[in-house]
Amino acid sequence: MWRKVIKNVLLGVFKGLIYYGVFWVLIPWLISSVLKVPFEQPLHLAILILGVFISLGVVSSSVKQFIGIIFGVLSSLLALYIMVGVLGVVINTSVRYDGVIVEASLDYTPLMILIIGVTLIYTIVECFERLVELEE
Amino acid sequence: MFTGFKYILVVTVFFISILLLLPLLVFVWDVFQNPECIVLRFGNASYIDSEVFKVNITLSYCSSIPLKNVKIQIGSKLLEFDYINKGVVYTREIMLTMEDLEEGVRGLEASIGGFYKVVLKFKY
Repeated sequence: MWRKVIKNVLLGVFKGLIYYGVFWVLIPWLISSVLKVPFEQPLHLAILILGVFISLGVVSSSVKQFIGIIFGVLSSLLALYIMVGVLGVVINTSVRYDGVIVEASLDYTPLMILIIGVTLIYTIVECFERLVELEE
Repeated sequence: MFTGFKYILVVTVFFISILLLLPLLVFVWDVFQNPECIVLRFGNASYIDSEVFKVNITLSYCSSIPLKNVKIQIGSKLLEFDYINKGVVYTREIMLTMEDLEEGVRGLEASIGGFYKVVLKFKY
């Protein structure tokens, strides 16, 4: 019994860390290093996001599978919110070059559509996978 | 049942992301290597009257990623090019006023490789 609970909790923590790592660390780092624009977010927000991802992951793997699907989907929705709400699809920056202030903005909608589309497809596939497991 | 599909999805996305990012990476690299990547030159000015004059503007560009729908704001006038490519010199004739010339280049709008819209505004 306890072994199963610990296993589910560890699995949930792992899932939460994966979501946090991909959507809060990897993708923003990739975008900011390609565009040479810093991605700066307050530490408390990062801790909050990490906490929410881990909580959703733990709940998703601990409760009954059918209810767990809903929490798994909530993790994906939070990831999508980070993509659209926090990162956005336009990056604005301002640099001084040769005495002139240059205000630059870059719209990277195609890349964001790809990430959002894949997240949605992945979530739907995962839901089907778990539903199939349930039926078996 | 879906594990194979998930792996294929991740690998496909990885390669599509690289393909999507490549034009942006090359453009950013070229611009950082050569900050004067887009060069505008004014020449052969001839006065129409005391206020307005006709001028030839040549545009050259350094990056191997073409720019689409290029719009350059000079004072109140807008200069447009459908495509600009590396190594090609584009020439346009435009009517400018002294006011336009004093204001200079105010902004630039383009689409990097037709994918990423970039807007630059210059404040002197």
